[in-house]
Amino acid sequence: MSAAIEILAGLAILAGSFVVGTAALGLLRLRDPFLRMHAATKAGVVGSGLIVIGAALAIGGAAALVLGVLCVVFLLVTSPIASHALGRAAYVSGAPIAPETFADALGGILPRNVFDIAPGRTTRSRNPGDAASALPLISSGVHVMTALESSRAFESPTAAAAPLRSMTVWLPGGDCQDAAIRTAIALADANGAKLVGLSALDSTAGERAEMVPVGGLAWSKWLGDRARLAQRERSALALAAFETHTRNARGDVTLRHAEGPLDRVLAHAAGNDLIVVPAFVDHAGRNAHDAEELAAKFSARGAGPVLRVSRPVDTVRRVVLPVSVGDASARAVQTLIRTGLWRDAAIGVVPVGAPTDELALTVARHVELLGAHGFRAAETPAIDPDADRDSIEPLLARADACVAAGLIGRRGAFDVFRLDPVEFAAARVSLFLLP
Amino acid sequence: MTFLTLALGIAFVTLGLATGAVAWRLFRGPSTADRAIATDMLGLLAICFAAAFAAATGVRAYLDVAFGVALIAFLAAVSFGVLLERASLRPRGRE
Repeated sequence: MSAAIEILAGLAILAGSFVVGTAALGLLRLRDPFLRMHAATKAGVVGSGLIVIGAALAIGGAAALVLGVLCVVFLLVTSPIASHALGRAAYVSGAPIAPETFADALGGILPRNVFDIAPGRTTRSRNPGDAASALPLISSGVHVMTALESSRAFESPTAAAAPLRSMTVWLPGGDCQDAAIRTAIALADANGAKLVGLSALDSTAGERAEMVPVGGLAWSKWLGDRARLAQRERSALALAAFETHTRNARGDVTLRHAEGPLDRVLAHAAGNDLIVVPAFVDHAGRNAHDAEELAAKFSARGAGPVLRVSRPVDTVRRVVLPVSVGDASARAVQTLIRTGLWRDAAIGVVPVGAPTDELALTVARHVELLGAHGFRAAETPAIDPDADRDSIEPLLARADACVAAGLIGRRGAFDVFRLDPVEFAAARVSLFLLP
Repeated sequence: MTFLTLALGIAFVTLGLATGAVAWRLFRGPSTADRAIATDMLGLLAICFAAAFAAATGVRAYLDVAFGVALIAFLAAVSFGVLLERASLRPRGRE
């Protein structure tokens, strides 16, 4: 083998392994099955093709070269077919689409199932009344048809119009639980969405991770037992409330129970279009505020759109959307568009901070984008965080709902003197939508 | 043979790391579609391993192995896709 061919083979193998490594990294890090497949199939074919060519060159001889070229041609022909089949299956099975993807080009063309990460865990399904159970398939968004006739037969406008197809309402107990359940049921009924009541217990509550003094172990265990007992009582009350409220619900309502640390329990709610969470509680059902709240933690873990409810609202008329320069407010706007909530409400896009050109441009873009998606959005007078508190409060206090990227906004150096509109809204506004 | 040996060494390490990443995705999910995609990618990695091994040992039979794995990986991916699609189109909760 000549040196040139050897170097060529080495270069091909190096390039191929680089591409394969990149593809694996994409499979690991990208955010939804479709993006992952984009990385895996395209890059994977180029990578393995290059390695096979390199190997054929290294071995040398006509037979090896023919076999290598044949292998590459075969990969090029079959890979699009395989990835098409997998992508179609992922779409039909309702795999979640990352929020960065705006358009769903297949919406209304292929049937799309309600995503359920663990169908075996559903404890029971209830269809109250005979009249209601005649139409359960349409109301739950599950469409039955064979793959062949799907492209023509799928013209049901209800499924295409409703952006909310599956919802979870979290049942940790607490003062706002009743409001959360009522809001979730009203939304599920309006959208024909499948509703799951998830009663999640923190089995690690009260356990102390740090060292305990001598003789303190029994005391720590006793405290943990007490905490779990109180939590079970709150949870039982919440379950009873859910049972009472869903007795007359029309749609597909199920109940699940899970115990464990927050991350593990949160996996049960993955892929939902909306998670409804009562305000001011943490995972163990205790009172909590700001970053300790369930809603803030879900949002920080990227669990999907979270609706935090503190009081029930019949009709949402006024929505505020505090906008500051940066990615955060853009994420809030995307979430609002994706969930399709409050289309009939007046959405006030509130500039926060000093009036700069960048802020004005951001606000104008958000208003335009919301308007293009059919929302009634308008710019409102700006809020200056350093200004007088009394003049700002009326702007926010009248709102029924607020959309923001987090429960805690950006604080200045002296947060004693500044009014953070997001925190202000988190304490007072009844409905709070988080990405 | 030095440059090719070096390239093969780097390639084997990269492929090993890639296999780890793909295996993690296969284990973690979260959805069935993710696992199917990871399985498909594992097939591609097997092709790469067989080809790199062929280059390292100089035995042409390993290239035949790569070709065979490519064939089987294609069939597996297509049948996974069809299976997943059928399974999710079945009405749930009334079996």
